[in-house]
Amino acid sequence: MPREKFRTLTEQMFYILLCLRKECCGMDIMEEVSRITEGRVSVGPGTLYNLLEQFLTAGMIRETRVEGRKKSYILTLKGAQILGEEYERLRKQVADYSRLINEEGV
Amino acid sequence: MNKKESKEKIKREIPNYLPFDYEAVEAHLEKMAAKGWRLVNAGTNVWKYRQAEPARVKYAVTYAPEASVYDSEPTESQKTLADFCARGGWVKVSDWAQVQIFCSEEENPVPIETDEEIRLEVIKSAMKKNFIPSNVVLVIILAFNLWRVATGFFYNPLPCLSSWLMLLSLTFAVVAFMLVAADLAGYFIWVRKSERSIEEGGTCCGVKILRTLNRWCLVFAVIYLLLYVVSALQEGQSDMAKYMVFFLLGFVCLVAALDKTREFMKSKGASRSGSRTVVIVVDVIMAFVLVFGVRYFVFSGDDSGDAVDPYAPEIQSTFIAESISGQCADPKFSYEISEVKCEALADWCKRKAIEAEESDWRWIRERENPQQWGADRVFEGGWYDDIDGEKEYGKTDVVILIRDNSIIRVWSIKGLTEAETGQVMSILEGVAGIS
Repeated sequence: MPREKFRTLTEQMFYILLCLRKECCGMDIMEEVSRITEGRVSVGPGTLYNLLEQFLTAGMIRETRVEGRKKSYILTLKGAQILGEEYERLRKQVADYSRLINEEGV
Repeated sequence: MNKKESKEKIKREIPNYLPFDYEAVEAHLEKMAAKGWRLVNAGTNVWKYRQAEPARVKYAVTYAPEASVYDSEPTESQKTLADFCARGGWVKVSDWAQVQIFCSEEENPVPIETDEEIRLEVIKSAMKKNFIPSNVVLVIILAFNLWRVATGFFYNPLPCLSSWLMLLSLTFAVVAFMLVAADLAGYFIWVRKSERSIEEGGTCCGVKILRTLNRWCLVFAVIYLLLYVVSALQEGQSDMAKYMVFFLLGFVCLVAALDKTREFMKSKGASRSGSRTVVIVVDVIMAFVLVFGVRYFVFSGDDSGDAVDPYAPEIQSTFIAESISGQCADPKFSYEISEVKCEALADWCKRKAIEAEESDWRWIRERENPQQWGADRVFEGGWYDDIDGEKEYGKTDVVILIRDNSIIRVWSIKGLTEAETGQVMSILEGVAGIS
């Protein structure tokens, strides 16, 4: 069944939004995500470009600065809420895993 | 085709890729680069390469749904996308409508698309702009053509079955419609399969079958053209052969003219709507010139050179049926003698030949004593006369004789007397050895 848009976030979406907890230039996000995840997650430039457009349209981020074609963005309240909900979902997943694994003594 | 431009060697090729088949485009460009040919410009109908050192170059295709072939320069979105890609080590090479082509000479560049769901969404948006509307229009036109040709065939199949030209036209109508419909249906099936694959954590699906089908379209077009010309010459219709050749040459000129017009408008910095309007106007004018000009050029030549006997019978024959048609001055009548060579189709052809004469305005009935005509069955037909609102049988103006697998039709507007009927049978006997 197709995932409802932004109801759950992919890893790339998650880390892009995480980068935008502080103002960040769109193009710098690629290196920032790679740095945060120590190279584990990479976001392609085409994917990044399209996701930023989608986040903007969905009101999850907003433009803070425009210098020619270089734009900077930051999370909106809605974006922060969605990011927070995703964090809660992942945290519960980790908690369920820990609890069950400990119970079963594996 | 190679052309030297100053010190740089240039190669041109006609691409034959579906716009959403990014894998094939990438693989082809990488293969060309490995052979020493780098893409310079991906035009609508011709791709241009320049010679370079053979090298391992990665190519990547992405899509800009908002782009148009009529833009005189890239849109702000395209430029921003190119900036993002440049940051990732990808250089923009060219674009082909919504298709954006990049290359990288880095060893392991981060792919431009790292999210298959996003990739598919962008492809779907891009295809809505160009591929889907143009193919829907083409399918409708081809469906209408197929309906027109098929209706004529099923109304009376004999003229088609006895002429290679008409059989080819029917085949072309069927195959062309099927190929374009398959392309369109194939796209939607590919989208659905890709969506399912992505839901399960996979990637967009391959396009192998459609790719092969697309390649065969070109082969089919060339084969059809050759067969058409040969059939036309074989049936003594050299004008039709000339028409086809000149029409095709004219079509190539039309496509080249539209490309040049687009390039000219781009060079003048025209707006998208202005460019589109000019191209459409040029297209319509040139299409008229092509259709009517070629027809006039080929069919309105001087006939005084070879005198053609208007009463000489015309013979058309295929492995399915043979038809001899013609007319006579005295008595005045026209005829068609057909023989169905394929036993399996004989009864159907006979039935259709009779049904073709019957309608709301025309009657047909079977005559008694067909042996008088030396036939197995005899039918006569004519127009209904409207007398005080009642339909009555009018004068007989057509006689149809069925004998074995032969169907003989004789038309005479004024109707034939008994004596004239005898004369007609003698004449037809001379034409086709009927006794």
